[in-house]
Amino acid sequence: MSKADDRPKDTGTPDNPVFCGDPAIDCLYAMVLILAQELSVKSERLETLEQLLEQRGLLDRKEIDAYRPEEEEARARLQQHQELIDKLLAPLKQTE
Amino acid sequence: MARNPLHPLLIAPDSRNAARQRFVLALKKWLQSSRPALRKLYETEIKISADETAAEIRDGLYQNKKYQVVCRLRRTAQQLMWQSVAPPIDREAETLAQQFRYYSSRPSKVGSLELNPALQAPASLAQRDVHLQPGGYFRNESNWDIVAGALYEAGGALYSQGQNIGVQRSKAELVMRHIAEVCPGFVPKNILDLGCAAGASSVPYAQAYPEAEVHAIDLAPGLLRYAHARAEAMGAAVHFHQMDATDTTFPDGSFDLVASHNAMHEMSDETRQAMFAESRRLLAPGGICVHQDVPLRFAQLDAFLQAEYAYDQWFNAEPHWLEYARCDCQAMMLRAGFKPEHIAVANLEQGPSFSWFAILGRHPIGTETAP
Repeated sequence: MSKADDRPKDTGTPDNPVFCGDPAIDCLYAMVLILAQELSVKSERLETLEQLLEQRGLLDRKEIDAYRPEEEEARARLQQHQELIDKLLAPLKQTE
Repeated sequence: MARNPLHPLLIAPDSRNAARQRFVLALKKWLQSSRPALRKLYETEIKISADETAAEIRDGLYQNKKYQVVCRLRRTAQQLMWQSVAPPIDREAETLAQQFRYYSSRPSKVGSLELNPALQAPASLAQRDVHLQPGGYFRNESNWDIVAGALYEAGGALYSQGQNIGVQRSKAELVMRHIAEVCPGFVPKNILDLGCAAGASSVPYAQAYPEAEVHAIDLAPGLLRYAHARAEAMGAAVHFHQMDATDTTFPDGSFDLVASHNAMHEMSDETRQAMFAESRRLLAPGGICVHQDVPLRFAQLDAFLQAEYAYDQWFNAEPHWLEYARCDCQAMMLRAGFKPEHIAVANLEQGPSFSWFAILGRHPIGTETAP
């Protein structure tokens, strides 16, 4: 990381600060956080869905374990995995 | 009025971005609550001797591997904040522009907006994304672009929650409550809000003092347009102007209350000094000026905390953060022409764990007691 001294006033925030000595490590931390964030989002949606379905008497939660997607649905899921990976690995493509 | 009131310009994030924002909030709260642990890290693993200089403490801290990870997480948390706040607003940019056109042109409007495209923005603010806000304060993609203001309000609300800053009362309400305590019976007739940004503090003045004429100024056109539409949507009569807080066009003695909210830390020492002088010039006899901002006073912090809080200058695009933290506001108010007995410092309690810093000055004529 850049030396933490009083920088000249107008340099402001660097566009691409490296905190951990190695940009790859900085990337890794950012990636882990993004992953955790998306995991949190998915947990919320899943909880919403299961609660709504149970409230309406439409779901026995055991059925979820037994569910197998159709081919088209499976392709859509693959697309979702790809989107997550694009997001997760974005720090490697960005200048920061 | 709550600090983050509901109004028609607010854009509710879609459920996924709402969930992302909740995650960011959780992350920011964790980072905020980790501060005592960081002091312990310094005390047990970094500190070499009891008489380290400020520079040694700072270097030791920022060169420590664990501390570096925390800094990385802080930076990423702020980026993820904007990445969850901006997409829902960007998607509605055209709707926001329509709302601006509607509120700024409807016959029943109660306030006004006066832009001055010739006004130069200071490079220190215009050339960077302050607080990492995408596009910065000076985003101005059309004559109807109010996205800068929408981002400022939405990001600010999330940021404050992450800092555990209470949201029960607006900053202007805290200032008014303080003035009522120190100057009972003071009812301003002409009010000016300097560096008003999205107008979140201008509106409460107009609502609390319906008989008063309220003016608010800022340098950024996108913030001012948003502030104007927002105030109109809330039915608050505020007159917004694109002006420099150090050099307004109002005549001497125009206002009996001159305020600024979270503006001092966005200014260089020179600019802040000039704003204090301008406040003094604009005060009517018996008038009060109040400049409120974050409670970051290095004179009251040890070297460890000074090193900790320097983060924002270096990595959160706060170009004047350290100048503000180190400045002596009382000395600057003296230089601006206020008499020692008319200058006071106040801590404005926002909640059980947070108080804002404020410096007050009174015009000498008509003053019987110091504020």
